[in-house]
Amino acid sequence: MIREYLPVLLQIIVAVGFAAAVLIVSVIVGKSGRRTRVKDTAYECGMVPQGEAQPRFGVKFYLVAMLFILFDLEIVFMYPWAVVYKETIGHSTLILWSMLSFISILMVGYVYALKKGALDWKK
Amino acid sequence: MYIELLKLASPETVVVVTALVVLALGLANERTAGLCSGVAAAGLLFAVAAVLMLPQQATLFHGMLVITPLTSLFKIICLVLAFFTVILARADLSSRNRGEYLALVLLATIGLMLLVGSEELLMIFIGLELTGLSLYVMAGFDKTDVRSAEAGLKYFLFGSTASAFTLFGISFIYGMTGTTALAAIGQKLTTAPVQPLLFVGIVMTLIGFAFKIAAAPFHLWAPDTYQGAPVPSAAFIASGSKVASFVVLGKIVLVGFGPAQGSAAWHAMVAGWAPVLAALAALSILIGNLVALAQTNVRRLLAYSAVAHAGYTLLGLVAGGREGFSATLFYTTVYAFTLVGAFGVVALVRRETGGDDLKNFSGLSSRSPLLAGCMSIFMLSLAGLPPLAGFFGKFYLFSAALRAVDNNGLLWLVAIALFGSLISLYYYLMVLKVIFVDEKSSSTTQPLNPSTSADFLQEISLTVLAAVVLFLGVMPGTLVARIIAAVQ
Amino acid sequence: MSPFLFWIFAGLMLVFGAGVVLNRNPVASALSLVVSFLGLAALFMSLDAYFIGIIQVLVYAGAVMVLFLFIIMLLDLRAEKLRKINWLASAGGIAVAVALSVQILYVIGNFRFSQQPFPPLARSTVDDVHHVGSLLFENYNLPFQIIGVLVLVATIGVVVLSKRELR
Repeated sequence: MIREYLPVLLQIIVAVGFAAAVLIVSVIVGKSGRRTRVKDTAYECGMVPQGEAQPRFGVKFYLVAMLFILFDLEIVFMYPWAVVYKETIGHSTLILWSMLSFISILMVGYVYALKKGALDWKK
Repeated sequence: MYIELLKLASPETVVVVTALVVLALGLANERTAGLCSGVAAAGLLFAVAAVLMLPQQATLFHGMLVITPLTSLFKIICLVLAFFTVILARADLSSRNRGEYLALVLLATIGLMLLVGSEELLMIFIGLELTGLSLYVMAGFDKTDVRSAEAGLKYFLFGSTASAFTLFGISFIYGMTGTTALAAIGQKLTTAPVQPLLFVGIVMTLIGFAFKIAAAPFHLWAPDTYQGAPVPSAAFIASGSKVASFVVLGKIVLVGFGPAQGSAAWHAMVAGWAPVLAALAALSILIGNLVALAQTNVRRLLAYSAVAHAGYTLLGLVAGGREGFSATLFYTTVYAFTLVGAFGVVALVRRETGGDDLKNFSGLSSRSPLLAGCMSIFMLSLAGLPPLAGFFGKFYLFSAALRAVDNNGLLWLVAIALFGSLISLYYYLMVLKVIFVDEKSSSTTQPLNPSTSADFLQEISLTVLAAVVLFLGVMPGTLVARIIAAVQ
Repeated sequence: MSPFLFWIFAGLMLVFGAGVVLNRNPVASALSLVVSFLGLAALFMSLDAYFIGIIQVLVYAGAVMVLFLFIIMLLDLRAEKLRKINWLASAGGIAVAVALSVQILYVIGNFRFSQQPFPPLARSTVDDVHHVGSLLFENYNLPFQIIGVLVLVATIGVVVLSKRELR
């Protein structure tokens, strides 16, 4: 059992080793110059950077991300549903109707978000 | 099977459908705000009718949804409290986003009904979360007010931490007993010796409920939330959420953890949940009443008095048994109706004078005798003066606590509660003094929005609430008999 | 799974969990949380709960973390970096946390069953998604429906609270 994972272990070693090697080689071979204030600034195509390296995002990103999570969660419940559906539907239609009502409640939420313009970027 | 589920959960289904309709109506047009309130109120009344048509006894999915006379009674009480909140919201909120607000009230009500109607820790937790999440949003609903945002944030942070503890505790209990059904847990505990690890689980589970009922030391959110949240939200947080939490807390400790009760008697403390609740009660009564003395804002004052009242109400659960539980249930119901009324008065005064500090209430008796009369009934009931409902509730609680343990073991707790009630008389009378004696100060004379000052519907509902408080004080037997019959 | 792997993953979780709290850069905290979640997922899988492990990675380490990063970007980071540490509050917090864990450890140490090894997990022929599915749609049907309502509440809350109003 554990032997079968040997290739995975090998892959991990290679990946970590490669990353470490690159870092080490760059320190050894590359000329490690002194840190200066200019060197520590964010790189912007050779221009003098303006503002901060991490600008503040608009709240719209948050809105979209949150809605994504909510509907992502909904999908999570569909995996086990799909797996057991075939054998359960034979003796009870509960599984069908419960999923339908679950989705229809969420559908109202989706339509609501849509109508409210939550997914409309320009508004 | 699904039809059966729909039939037994018909009140909840009605409320869900109403919430969806209200949400859709609110989307359609800003001018439909009035219609939204009407639909929400009608849906709640319809749900009450659905509760009345439920069978006497039924259970679904091994206790996930239980129907007994007790659950039906308290579902109706929750629905009625939600109804008054909707009326309060009709006048108090701007019509912007009204549909969402009412939908959230309805969805929170579903959470309350599930809390009341379930005997399964998992379902109770989900009900707790559904209520909590809706109430967090409702507390922070007014985006133009920094205080509202603060209220929402504080409520959310404390609430999510408390529910994390509750979930942790539930997982311990599940690990120890292998079940989440309350009856099965109770059976397991009677046969197996009670382990220390189980006490850790029990205490952790109680934390979430102590937060919900705002018992000290888990009350820190209450003052800011009661003061900053929109008035209808604060009223619903203080009433509906509290009633349902007490019902489910009582069921959990008496049915689920019954064998681990222990004893809170002064000379014979035995480890269990009773001493824990007794400590919470004593702390809440002392802290709530003493801090309330220093408040100058009426909503903050109500918040600290809510902490104290949580303490009194816990007395019944510490006493345990059928009598103690029904005393708790009666008291929390009376308290909820009183508080919704008090918040209703605060909302009207706030709209008239632009604030809810004590000085805004000065001269209310000359401006509006009706409001002043209602407020005095609510305040005197909270203070526990006869012949109002608060008096009988306290009497019932204290006598249940005295009789529960042999040798007057709980006398210390009752003494603290009496001392607290005595202190509380001062600040409740202070409010009345400002209303009836103080002259209207000149700084608060500019009305914020004079056109809305006459709101008959709200005045009628306040009068009804005051009448209920008076009626339950004069004839408490009507409700008490029902509760005692319902508590097995 | 061998105890060796358990200790590795549990240690990973705890170390990076502490990293979440100790890092002063919120982005670094969020990334530590990812690693902590991965360790937790590995522990789930070691208990044969593959489905929950995968969901842990997909939803928490994936989606929820993206959300965290977005929120961090929304905030003004310099304020957090420049904020002085309130040593008294930190010490109090640490004291409470230590007291709580000592209590729990003591109680678990005295727990009768903790001295004997747990019986090995029963090998089942049915995969765990099946188990989850059949439980979820039969006994736990009502909670499942209510979770739909819960997600609806969250949707409304998100839109209401973070959507900019047109004035």
